[in-house]
Order: sequence, then C-alpha cells, then structure tokens
Amino acid sequence: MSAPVGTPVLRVSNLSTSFRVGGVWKTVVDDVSFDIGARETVAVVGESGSGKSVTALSIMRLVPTANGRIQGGIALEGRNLPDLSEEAMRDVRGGEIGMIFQEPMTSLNPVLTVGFQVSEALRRHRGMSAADADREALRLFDLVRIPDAARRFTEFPHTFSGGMRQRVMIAISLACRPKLLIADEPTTALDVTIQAQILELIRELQAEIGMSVMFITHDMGVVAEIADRVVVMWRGKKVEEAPIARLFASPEHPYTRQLLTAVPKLGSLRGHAMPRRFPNVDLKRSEGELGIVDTTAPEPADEPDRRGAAILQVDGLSTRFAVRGGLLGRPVGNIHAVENVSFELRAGETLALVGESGCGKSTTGRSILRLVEPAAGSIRLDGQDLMTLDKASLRGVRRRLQMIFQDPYGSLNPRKTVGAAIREPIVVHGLAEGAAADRLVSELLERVGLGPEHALRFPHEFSGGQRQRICIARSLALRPAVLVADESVSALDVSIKAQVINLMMELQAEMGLAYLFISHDIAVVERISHRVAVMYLGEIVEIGPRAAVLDDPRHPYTQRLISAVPVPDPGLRKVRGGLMTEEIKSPVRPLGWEPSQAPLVQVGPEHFVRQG
Amino acid sequence: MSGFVIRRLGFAVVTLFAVLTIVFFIVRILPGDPAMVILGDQASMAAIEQLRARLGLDRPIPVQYVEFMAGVLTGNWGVSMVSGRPVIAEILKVLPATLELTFVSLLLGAAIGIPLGVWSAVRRNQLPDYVTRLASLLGLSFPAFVSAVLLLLVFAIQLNWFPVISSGQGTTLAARMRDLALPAINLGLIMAAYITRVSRSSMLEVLGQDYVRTAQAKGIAFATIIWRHCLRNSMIPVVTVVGLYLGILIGNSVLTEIVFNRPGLGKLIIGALNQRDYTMLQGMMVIYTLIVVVVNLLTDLTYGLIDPRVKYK
Amino acid sequence: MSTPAPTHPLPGDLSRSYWRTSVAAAWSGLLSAFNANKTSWVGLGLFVAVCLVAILAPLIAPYDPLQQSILYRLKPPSAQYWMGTDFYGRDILSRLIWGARISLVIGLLAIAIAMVIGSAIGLIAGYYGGRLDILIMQTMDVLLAFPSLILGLIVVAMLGPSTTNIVIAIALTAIPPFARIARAPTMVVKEREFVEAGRSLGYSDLRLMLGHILPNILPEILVMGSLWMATAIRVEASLAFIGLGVSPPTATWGGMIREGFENILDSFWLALFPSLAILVVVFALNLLGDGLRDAIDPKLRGES
Repeated sequence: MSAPVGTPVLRVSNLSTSFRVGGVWKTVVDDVSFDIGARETVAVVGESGSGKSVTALSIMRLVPTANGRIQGGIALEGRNLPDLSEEAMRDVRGGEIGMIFQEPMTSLNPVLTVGFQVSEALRRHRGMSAADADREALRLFDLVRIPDAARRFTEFPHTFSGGMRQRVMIAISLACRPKLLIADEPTTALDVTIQAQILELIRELQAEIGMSVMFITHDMGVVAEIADRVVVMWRGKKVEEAPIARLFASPEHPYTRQLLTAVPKLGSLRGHAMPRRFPNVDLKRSEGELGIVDTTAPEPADEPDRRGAAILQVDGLSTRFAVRGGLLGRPVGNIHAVENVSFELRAGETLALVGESGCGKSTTGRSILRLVEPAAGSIRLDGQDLMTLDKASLRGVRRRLQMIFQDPYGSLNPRKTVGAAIREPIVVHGLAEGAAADRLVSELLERVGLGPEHALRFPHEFSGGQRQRICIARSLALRPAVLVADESVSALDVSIKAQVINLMMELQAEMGLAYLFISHDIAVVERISHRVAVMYLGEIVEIGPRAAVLDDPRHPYTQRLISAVPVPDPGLRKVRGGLMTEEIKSPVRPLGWEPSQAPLVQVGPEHFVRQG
Repeated sequence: MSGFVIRRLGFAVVTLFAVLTIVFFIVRILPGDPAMVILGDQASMAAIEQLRARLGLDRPIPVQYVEFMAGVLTGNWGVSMVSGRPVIAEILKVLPATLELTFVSLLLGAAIGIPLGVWSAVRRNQLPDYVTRLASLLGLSFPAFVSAVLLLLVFAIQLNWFPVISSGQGTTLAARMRDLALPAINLGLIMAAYITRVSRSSMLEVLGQDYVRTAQAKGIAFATIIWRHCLRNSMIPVVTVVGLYLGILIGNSVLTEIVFNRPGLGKLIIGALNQRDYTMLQGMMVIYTLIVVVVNLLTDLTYGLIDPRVKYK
Repeated sequence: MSTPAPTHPLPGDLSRSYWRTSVAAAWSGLLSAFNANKTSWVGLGLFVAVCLVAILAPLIAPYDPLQQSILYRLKPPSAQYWMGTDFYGRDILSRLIWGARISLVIGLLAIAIAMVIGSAIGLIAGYYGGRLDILIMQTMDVLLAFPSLILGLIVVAMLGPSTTNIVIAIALTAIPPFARIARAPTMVVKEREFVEAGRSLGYSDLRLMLGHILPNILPEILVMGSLWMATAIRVEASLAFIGLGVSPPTATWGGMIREGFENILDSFWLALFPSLAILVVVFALNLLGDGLRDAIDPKLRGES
C-alpha cells in the first residue's frame, strides 16, 4: 500500500508540542504532519530526543496541561481531537485509540489482578456488567495467547514475565476493538525471541480486528518486519516519510541515510570470516549531529587477522546463586547462572557471548573478573589461575583484565570529574603520579576522541556515547590485555553504537586487545566478532567461528535465536508459521541438582555444538 | 501466607530480645551510677553500696543480664521501690488508659491526615498544597507539651468546654469522651501533621508511576484512578511508617498526660522518675519495648495484607 | 604503544584543579538546592538569626539570667522587662537568650555525633549486605520505633541529668534514623555500575565506601541532619519540661516552660515566650530541611 485510501483513520496536521522547563518553553515536537490509513501500519522511527513518544502522548492528549502545550490538528476519522472536552476525550482513550507502552514491568498496577485490569476497560467503554466483562476479558486472554488463562486471570502482575505482561497490556488496549493502536516501543525491553512473538501477535490481531497501527521504535529491523509506511523523526521534526520499500532502497534525507548505514544487518558479512568496521563513522561527531554520509563510499575492508596466542583460558566455570526461602531464609534451591563454561580467547581476538535474559552471559563476564565468586572452574590469564589467588594478588592481576559496563549513565561517579575518574586507577595501582599521571589522562582522552580539556568536566555534561568512551579510556589506563564488554553498546543510539564499535576495533588493532563481547544484539556481534559462543540456561550450546555459527547454526536454540532477529530489509520479511508462546526458562534448580554432562560435539573446523 | 506470618512473628521475638539487650547494656555501660543518682551525692558510701546490692547492681554484668531476661520472661518485673507492689501490676492498671488515648489519637490523625495528604498531592503546587504543607510543617514543629499547654489554656481554662483535670475514670461514655477530647486532639493533630506529609509524598510518587499512565490511556476518570488505582498503592508506605510514628506518639503521650494530668503510662514513668523508682523504670522499659515490637508486627502483617507482592517473598 | 603527543598544553597541576572543580560543583549544587524551594532560605535565615542571638548572648542580653530580684517577681511584660519576669524575678528575655545556647549546643553536638556514628553504621550495613545487614537493620528498625523521648528519658533518669548525659541520650536516639537514611541510598548506589567498575579496577572497599559512595549519599544525610536537629531541640526541651534537663538555675527553654506551667493560670507569659522560641527554631530547621529535601529528591520536584 503506497498511500492511504479514503479518509485516513488518523490525520496529524502541523502538530507542535512544547514543554515549559524552568520558565522557558521548549518545543519537543515541531510541526509534524502525517496520515495513517485504514488497516495500515505506520512506523515512527527516531533515536532518543526525536520526539516520537511525545507525538504519541500528544495524540492521546496525555500531555500534562500544567507545563505542556499542544498545537495543531489531530483528526481521528475526521473528528479533531484537541477540540473535544475531557470527558469526550476519555471516551476516545481506550475506546477508539488503544495504547501500549515500553516498560511492561511497570505499566500494570501491582495491587490489582490482571483480569480486573482488562475487564475494567470493557466495563468503562462497553458498559458491560462485571460478569460479562470478565467473560470477555477471559476470551481476550486466549486471544493474546496467555497460557492457562483461566487460572492466571485472578493473579497479580508480579507473577508474570515481561513478555506475558506485554500480552496483558495488548489485551487491555484491544479490549474495545479500537480503530487505532499506538504502540510505543513495546518490544524494546523484551528479549529477541519474545519480541518476535509479540510482533507476530500484533500483526495477527491487526488483521483480525481490522485496525491501524502506529508503531514507534528505533529499531530498523522491527520497522522492516512490520511497517507499510515509515515516518522518520529527528530532533522533533519529521524529516522523511515514505513507503517501506522506497525508504530502505533509496533514503533521501541525510539523517535517514545516516541511520540506515549505521544499522547492522545480520547477514551482511555472510561468507566473510573476519570482523569489519562500520562505514562512514566519524569519531568526532557528537550525538544528535548530522554527519556527512557518502553512500558511494565503499564498505571498509575486512580486518586482517592479527590474532596471537591464547591468553585467557576458562575451564569448567560454574557460578551459582542461592535461592532462599522458608522460615529462616535457608537455601531452598540454586540459580545455576553459569554451568560448566569453557572457552579460550586469543590476543587480538573478539569472542562474543550471546544469549537472552537469564542465559548467564553477564554472570560469566563477572565471574571471570571474580566480581562474583565462581563455585568451580579455573580461569587462566597468561597461564596463571585467577581462582587460586588471594585478594591482594588479585588486585595486581585485575589490571590485565578490565570491564566496560552497560549503563553509560551509571558507570561514572557523578561527583567526580572525568579526569579524576580516569586518573584514580593510575594512582591507586602506582603506575604514575602527579604530572606524569595527568599526561596519561590527557593521552587517554585523546585516544578515545575527546580532548584533554574535558578532564575537568563532570559526567552529566557528556552524552551517552561520550561517557562510554570515557569508560573505555578509564579501562585502558591500566593497559589491560583482555577487556570484557558487558552489553557496552546496548544502551546507545544506533548511530552512536557504530562509533563506539569502530573505536573498539581501532584499539584492538593498535593495542592487540582481546575482547569478550557480551551482547544480545546479534547483528552488532556479527560485525565485531571473530568467534561466537551461544549461551542458554547457563551453558554454552554452540561455539565456533562467527561465520560458521551465524551462517550455519546447528543447535536448535541458535537457529531459533537467529531466525527471531528482525532484519532491516523489507524484502527479507519472514513469515513465521505458528505462534510460539514459549517463555524463556530461568535456570533455577532444586538443591543438589547436577547437570547432565552433555558433551560438545565437533561439527566443523573449531565449531562445536552441545548435544541433547 | 502462613509462612509469612510465622516468619514475622519469629522476627518480632528476636528483635524483642535484641532491643531489650541493647537497652539493658546501654544503661549498664554508660558512665553514671544509678545508686548515686537515687540517693544524691551527699549520701554515704555505705548507703550507696547497700542500695547497689539491693538493686543487684553489684553482681557481674552477665549475671545481671540473665536475671533480667529471666525476669522478663516469667513476668517477674521486679517490685516498685516506692509502693512495694509488683511493677507489672502497676503497669497493667494504667495501661488501658494509655492504649485508649493512643488508639483514638492515631485514628484521628489518620482520618485527618490521609485525605488531606491525598488532596494536597492531587492539587500539587497550587494553593491548597502550599497551605497544607505549611500547616503540617507547623504542626509537627510544636513540641507536644507546648500545644497541650496552649489547648489547655484556650479550651479548658478560658472557654471551659472541657475539664481542666481529667480523672480518666468516668463511668459514662460521654464523660470518658470529655476527658479524652483535649489530649486526643493534641496528639491527633500532631499525628495528622506527620501522616499528611507521608500521605502526600507517597501519593505523589504513585501518581508518577507508569500504571497511572496506563489507566489514563484506558480512558478512566481521574477520580476513579485516584480511588481505585492509586490509593491502595500509596497507603503501603503510610502503613509501614505508622509503626515508626508510634514512637513519636508514645513520647508525646507522656507529655500530654502530664499536662492534662491524665492517668497512664506517662504519669507512671514521670512518677517513677521523680521518686527515683529504679525498678519501676526498668519495668517501663520492658513494656515500651513490648508495645513497640507488637505494633511493628501488626504493621508488618497489615502491610502483607495490602501488598500482594509480599506474600510471595 | 605509540600514542600521539597531546595537542593542548596541560593546565598546571591537574589534581588540585580536580579538587577545586569538585568543591565548586558542590557549592553550586547547594545553592541551586536552596533556590529550588525558596522557603529553605527563610528557614536558614531564621536559624542563623537564632544562632547569632545565642553567640552574642553576653552582648545583647539586658540582664544577668541568674540574677534574682525579690521586688520584681512575676511581673508581666513592660518597658523595663520586655518579656516580664519569672517566679524569682529573673528577666525572661535574658534567660531566653542564654537558653538558646544550651538548646543549640546540645542539639548540634548530639546530632553531629549521631550523624557520624549512624551514617557509618548504615554505610557499612548497606555496603556489605547479607546477614550483617539484616541483623543491624532489624535492630535499628525497632530502636527507630522506640520512642526517642522515652529512651532519652530512661537514660538520663538512670544516669543523672548532666549536659553530657543529655547529649549522649539524644545522640543515641538519633543514631538509628541516620543509619537507616545512610543505608538505603548506599544500597542503591552500590548497585550503580561505577561502584562495580571501581571494584574491577582494584579499589579497596574502604576507598569505595568513603571516596565513591559517601559523596553521593551526603545530601540525604545532611538534610536528615537539619531535620533531626529540630527533633533534638524538641526532645531536649521536652526532657527539661519533665525535669530532666540541665539542672537549674541554668536557663533552658524547656525548664522555663516547666516553671511557667506551674504558674500558668495567672502568669501565662512565663510559658508563652519560651514556647514561641522553641516553635520558631524548630519550625525554621524544619523549613530548612524540608525545602532541601524537596530539592534533592528528584521525584518530588515539580518536574512532569
């Protein structure tokens, strides 16, 4: 469908939304216009600060009137919404427009049963009696494929997982068969296999109810999976609008082009054994700025193979957490977060650990650094087993093994200047003092693309991507040999991800660093990794060269994982038969449970798969 | 659920012992000699030694501790040095009056404080909010005896609406209520000040939650959202904090009972102070600890009733 | 590794600059916290005024607070005695001014002690967690609920009313709240990744607690400090009212109200002025602490 037919379900005309902050009006949505036709899915795409969420809230008139102001026209099937009285608008909310939000964990009221929260919508808009509403709500539970619906109807939200809560939210928003569903990043907080299920569900329900969908996201892969047309927003303005095929094939606006080049496409390195940097990345460009994207510039070449000897050997690593319960808080079970994990890492190599929530990849990273104490196994760095060291010797070894964390906003002490933060490890480990230490700080800052004058600033003055680079500088201060990157780019915007990944690859080339790259984002992993290990329920289920594991996965879980990843290419839209409702299992086991030692079987050169 | 209750009971017992131990040791370890305090510094050494022996203060501390704890458990809380009667009997005689005052004041404070706090949160940064915040701040700045004295001056002495001295032993309900009125109002208003503040901040926090936005997106009316979606959630912190405020309430009730000359634990403890009744003081320590632990337990259990997440812990 | 030479000249001794920058940032943070809620300025102003009065007592008090006068007993306020005289003919205004010293000194000392000890306990409990934490905090929680007045009362009664004992008693009752107010944010900050980063960088527990966690929880502790000082002054006055204050004839506000209470029916001014004095100081501190607390807690700021 290239253009809406007839009266559009939603017509947004010159919408501007402003907020008063500290006495000054700031425009967050600036003169945005677009249409959504009947039975159409329009994706609204942008990074943080683009104003896409505020657009949705403005349509629903959920902008607080004290400090917010909406100007412009919002016509729902011809009716102008800003003209309606508050009571009439409340009828529209939930009755004619349904909305689902990003955070399933906090969007449901913890003291009301899920059944009630669904039937409340029915009672409000369709005037049903309590009994009728409950019956209909139960039917909706089945519709959104919540297993064991009758029993779970009277339970409270905290007993549901994120994916299940999102299904409840969908049931609530669709209870009254609205004309338009606004979905604000509904799958961003979910694991990729769960995301695939939810996207599939939305698509099915849309066809069944015959409604339009406004899908807000920053993930171009998701856009390619579900959208008919795309609206691209940047800094509050609409910069491009196009049918999906045209947007991906020939984007016009520089921002769209920048976005599309920065998005990693899973499968683009098929057949290439080595990692490859992102094209068109300017390290000095700040977040929110437009770089110059030359689409004729060639893709960078594959990285040469600079790998050295094995430097980190992990053998039989196991980490467990006790689950306490009962009268005195005695252990009643264990979470087998990491179970019998073994791998090798060579100098100058990137080994990726991928998996979904609860698979143990983060815990593996922390266990290697002994930030959590493993229960068993050996960790050999340069031949020395870290597990045998006492606290004092461990400190010395810690220099060689560093970690970069996920949250750029939490990784730096807000009360310390950036320079002090980078300087501290240098002084604590006695590497340098006084002016020599200061010189090192300046060098490090420059190495990551910042300037020495930044040393006197505080973290809150920097953007997310810059903070992550500062964290990298801090880790480099101790001249490590191995860097564990725990979801280090997951919290960054798409175009900034590329910057940081390229920086990491530069540093690897220059310093011979080895990375243990922990991530759930397989597309990013494809570009940076030499080898990939897939984890599930605490175990490595498949490990091998990146090309082998991603192009030719052998383990059923790996296959499921890879097929669930949305690819930013509308031509490759997947048809998934049969809706899965499988939850991601959590590795909680009773006391004394020992894992079955299923062996790793070789299926190719250095490519191993766990049987059973 | 029963596991939860049993666990909480267990905690309560353990903390009871822990606190009694702490208070016991605080008094034994800090510098100062109770016997000298009782007899004054003009007394002879012999008299002091004799008193110390009578009070059991000359025995080694571990022995004292065991005797003390054993006494607490068996109900032998010692004998009043002044009246000669068992401490526990004296306490039980006046306990009902204090409990009555405390309970009514708490009810009054909640009845005023909770709605006021909610209203203030909903009308945030508007005039009702400012007035309420200022008034509640003023309310809890009054030391309880100051407000009690003022109330006494105005309502009892000047206007003569209430008796100046209450006997606390009125036979009719009306008489009891007249006696209770001013003290309960005094304490109740102070409690209302505290409860208003916590009710307000808790409601503000709830109003900022995502699930309120979900309810708005469902098209529910604002008043319904407050009543059905917010209230129970915002009461959770209020309930947990009431146990905390009980301490303030008890302390203030002592002062109130003095000013209004009302029989109760407060007057008992003051009498014990003035007459240097050491064993009575020790017994009072035990009863206060008991009250506090029991109320904490009740608050915990109520919290478990309101918040469905707790049962599954 | 070969690195390019720095392109900008280094600004002198950087470590001193870091220190200066941090102090400047803390100062401006404090100012903006005050400015966020204008009432905190009022509170601060009132409190500072009272402190000045206390400090300048020898200079501004018209009479000697202990000087008795048989002729002028129980006189109502007049031009000669602005607030009247008490049972012994002593000038109430002078006693009020000198009494400020007692209340403020006791309050300040007690809270300072409690702040240091209590915060240390809370920091340690929150940082190490586990069984130690549960044990400490359960006890703190019940001590917290234990009426501070009763605890203070019992301690002073058993050990004798001296200034030291009163300070100790009030400090003891204030330790649990500080422990609690230090523990909660410690547990939150401990989970923040910069603390874990510090551990992976090999920092010792002490360095993490004092250098990283403490500066981040200091605002909450200080706000609590000002609010609890209000309570301390209230408790001291209450103890004095009961008869456990600093021994007469020293002038204390609570003691003055006690004497005034005995004569309340005909000489109400004896009780009135010290009551107002207590009210003003406590209210000022509450305004101050409350305004600051609103500024610190981002949830309670007026941001939508």
